Amino acid sequence: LKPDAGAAGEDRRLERRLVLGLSVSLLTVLAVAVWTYRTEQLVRQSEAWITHTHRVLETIDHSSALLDEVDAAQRGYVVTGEPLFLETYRASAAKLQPSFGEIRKVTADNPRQTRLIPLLQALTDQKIAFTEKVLKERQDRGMKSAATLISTNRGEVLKIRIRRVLDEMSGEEDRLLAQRTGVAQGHSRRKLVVLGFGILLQFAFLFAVFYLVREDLAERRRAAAAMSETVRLATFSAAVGAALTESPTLHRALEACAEAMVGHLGGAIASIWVVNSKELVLERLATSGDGVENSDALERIPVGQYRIGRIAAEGIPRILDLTSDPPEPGDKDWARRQGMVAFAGHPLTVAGRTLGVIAMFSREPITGAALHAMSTVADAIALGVDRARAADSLRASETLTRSIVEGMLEGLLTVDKTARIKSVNRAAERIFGYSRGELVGQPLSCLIPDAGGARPDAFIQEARIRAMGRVTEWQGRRKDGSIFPFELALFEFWTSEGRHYGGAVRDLSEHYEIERLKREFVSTVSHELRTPLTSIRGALGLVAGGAAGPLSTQAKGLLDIALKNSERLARLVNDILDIEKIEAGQLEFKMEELSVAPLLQAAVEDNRPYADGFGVALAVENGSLDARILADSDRLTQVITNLLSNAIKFSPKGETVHLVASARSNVVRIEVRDHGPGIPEEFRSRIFGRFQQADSSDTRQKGGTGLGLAITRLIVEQLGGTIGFETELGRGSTFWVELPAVDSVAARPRILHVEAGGAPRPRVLHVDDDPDLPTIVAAALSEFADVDVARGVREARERLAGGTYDVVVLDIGLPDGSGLELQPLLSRPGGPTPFVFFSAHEIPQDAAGRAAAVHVKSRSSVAALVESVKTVLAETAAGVDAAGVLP
Amino acid sequence: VKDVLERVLYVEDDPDIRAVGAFALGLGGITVRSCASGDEAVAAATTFGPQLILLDVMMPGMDGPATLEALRALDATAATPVVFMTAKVQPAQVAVYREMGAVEVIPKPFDPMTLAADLRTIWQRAG
Repeated sequence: LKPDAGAAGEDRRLERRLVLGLSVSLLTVLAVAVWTYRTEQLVRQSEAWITHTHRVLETIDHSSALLDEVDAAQRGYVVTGEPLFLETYRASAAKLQPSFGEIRKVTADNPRQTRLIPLLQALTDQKIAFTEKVLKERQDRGMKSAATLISTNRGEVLKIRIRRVLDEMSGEEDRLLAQRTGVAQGHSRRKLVVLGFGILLQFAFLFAVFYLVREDLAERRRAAAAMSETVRLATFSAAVGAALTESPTLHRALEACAEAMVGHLGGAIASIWVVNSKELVLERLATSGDGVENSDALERIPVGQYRIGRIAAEGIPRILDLTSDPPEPGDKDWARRQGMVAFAGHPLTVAGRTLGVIAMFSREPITGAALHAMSTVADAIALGVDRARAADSLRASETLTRSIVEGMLEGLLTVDKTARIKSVNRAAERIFGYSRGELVGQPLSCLIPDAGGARPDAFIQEARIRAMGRVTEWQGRRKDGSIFPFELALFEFWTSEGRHYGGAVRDLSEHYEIERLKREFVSTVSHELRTPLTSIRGALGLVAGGAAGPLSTQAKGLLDIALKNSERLARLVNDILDIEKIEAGQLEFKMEELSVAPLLQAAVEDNRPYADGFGVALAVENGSLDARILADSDRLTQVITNLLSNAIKFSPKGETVHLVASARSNVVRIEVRDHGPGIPEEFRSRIFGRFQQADSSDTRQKGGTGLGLAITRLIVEQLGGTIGFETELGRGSTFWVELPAVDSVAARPRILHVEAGGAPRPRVLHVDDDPDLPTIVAAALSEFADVDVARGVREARERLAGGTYDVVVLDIGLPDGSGLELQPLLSRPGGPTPFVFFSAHEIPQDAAGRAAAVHVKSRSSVAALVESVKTVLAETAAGVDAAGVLP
Repeated sequence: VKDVLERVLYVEDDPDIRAVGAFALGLGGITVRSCASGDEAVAAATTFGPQLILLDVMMPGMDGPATLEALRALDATAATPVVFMTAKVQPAQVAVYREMGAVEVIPKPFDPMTLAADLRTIWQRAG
């Protein structure tokens, strides 16, 4: 807008100047014309006057001539008496009077002449009168008298006087003539001067106008030239800009830039070089132009070498005159043959880094303007190169990331904070049976039914707390509607679109299926082994017992070996099946109140023969302890027997194994102490594992199955107790079992937390190893209940031993066992404690049947759990009220 | 050097298997020195001077391979053929035992009626 306004302003100024100049010029012409006209009139007037003067003079001359004629005729008549002369005289005399009248007429304007007229008239009258007198004399008296009269000279005198008057008048007219001629000449001169001046003035104006117009034109030409340079630069820049933005690849963009340099800057060959920073060379990515390429031209130039390399190294643009510049290897001849005379190069830099060089050869000298033009586009090209490279490396890294993500065997899902699916990988597609297109943008609830609550963000919050940074188990739904378990590890990340969550997903259905098959296989094999084993043991027993006739000593020895080992095999099979049963929660526990002392006594008696075999003594300490526990008598006996037999096996001959009972605050503790070798340090952590022996050979040497302690621990935990050991190498070991004492259990009122002055608040035990979830649940329950948290089976047992709870919220997958193991403890007589499963695991049918409610974590929510707990508490309260026994 | 196998050093930690094994070999006319551990075998080797050593692999303390190594260090048993007896007889495992210097591996459970004959064959082959 601005240049246009300027141009318009200049146009107006020029116009004003021209109009002013022309107006002044016109006025001058007008003034000169008027002036000339008026001068011309004056000249004409003067000329009229001169003519008039001439006429006056003529008239005077005519009068003077008439006078002479009169005189001559008089004289002739006098002398000759000839009447002809008289006639002549009469004619002339008659003209004389009108002649004078004429004089009077033409000199009327001049007072000085007019003044002489009466004198002239009078003299003339006298002359005529005298002449008449002479003539009369001649006629009458003859010649002599007439001559005498003439000789008086009277006539002559009059004539002279008249002549004088006439002369005076002529003189006057001559003076006037001279004067008028002068005036006329003056006017003429002035006229000439004014005209000349006017013409000069016109010339001056014309010149001024010419100058102005010329100046203006020159200025316009300059502006137009400047404009065309700007336009050229702009088109060039635009061409480069378009090349950079519209080309699909960097290579194509640079080709287009090179073409633009040739097209707009008049180069013969333009090329664009990009630095390969790894090898420190410039690589020619684009070239364009009509010039024939130098066949020796390099495609790669080390930074710092040759023209282009130096420009890249120094970062300074250059124009080189090829005709004088020292030639570079291989191009001098080429340049000459191709008529190249100039070279220009400009570095491509971004933030101080030189990314490359744009270069141009030309058949004409390259101007600073062209270099300037290169400079204006260098930044854009450099940015383009930089961006393309950044995009390339981004693409490469994206490809890498995508390949990794797509190649993962684990499914990967990302969702935004509103639980909408943002991306899935191939494995996730496979796991859930959906295609990517079907999933992206969908709510997470289509994959995880549990996520379909009223507030997806609430689900996300809950999932965050449960699954962030660790592996947790969830229920998923496939496209075909089938529900399956999967492992989820959640992580959080941020993008420009805000917070996102990623979940690594592993399908557990196969894993569970394998687990199930394995268990089934072990179980089947074990059962199948029992049948032949029964026959073998039976047959051997019969033969060894002599049922088939007497045996030699050798045969008896071999049969004993066979029998012993078949029994061992039977034990092993039974142990395996026991473990399977306990783990599956299928082992029945008949919980009852038991006195500890008789139980221990019985156990010692049962094991005494075995101990005798090893030469080991058994002793019960504190056998009169009056403590009662809640347990399954058979299972507890199994536990004590296991511990005793271990102690006996590992005791040196002659040592004593002690069985010790003691009552603590809420528990009864049973200890089995031996004086064996102790448990090696490295074995202590695995001692309760399966097929774990301090030495693999011990199984055979000591006759164990390697499952004893594993089963023992499982049983103890099912009984609501805890098991442990202390050991010292070379001194012996003590295995202990702690079981809840009945008194401590039964003595407790059901709802016992009565705040001072407050209403009784129910107590809830939440058994869950999740570090955060219990906090959420406690917060949700805090409105109406107090919540204790147990992080594992052992802690839960302690809690349950230490107090009564109105409801227990139970997880199954715990670090030290299964929540199912707590069931016997909860269903003990004297008041079973209602419990609610809240677990990621599937709950076995039978266990679920015993529970007040079942919530699978991935399918349910904390809110639903809280509702269940409320319901259970309400039912309990109703039951208590109905019974009328508020404890 | 006799060309018939007569003296076998038998190392087996399980007393029942040891009893059965020794019985079977004795039945085949082989003089057996039964040892319950590697240590016992090393102690007995020089005096006994076995023509073949039958070695259990899994034993407490010195296991089969360790016992083999210890026996190789003795002059009396430096070159005596050794046969491993084990329940772990996967081909890869057998290759490892052979690598250790065993001439043969007899799988458990073994046939007591053919054990002596088997060892004789092996001994002849190794001979």
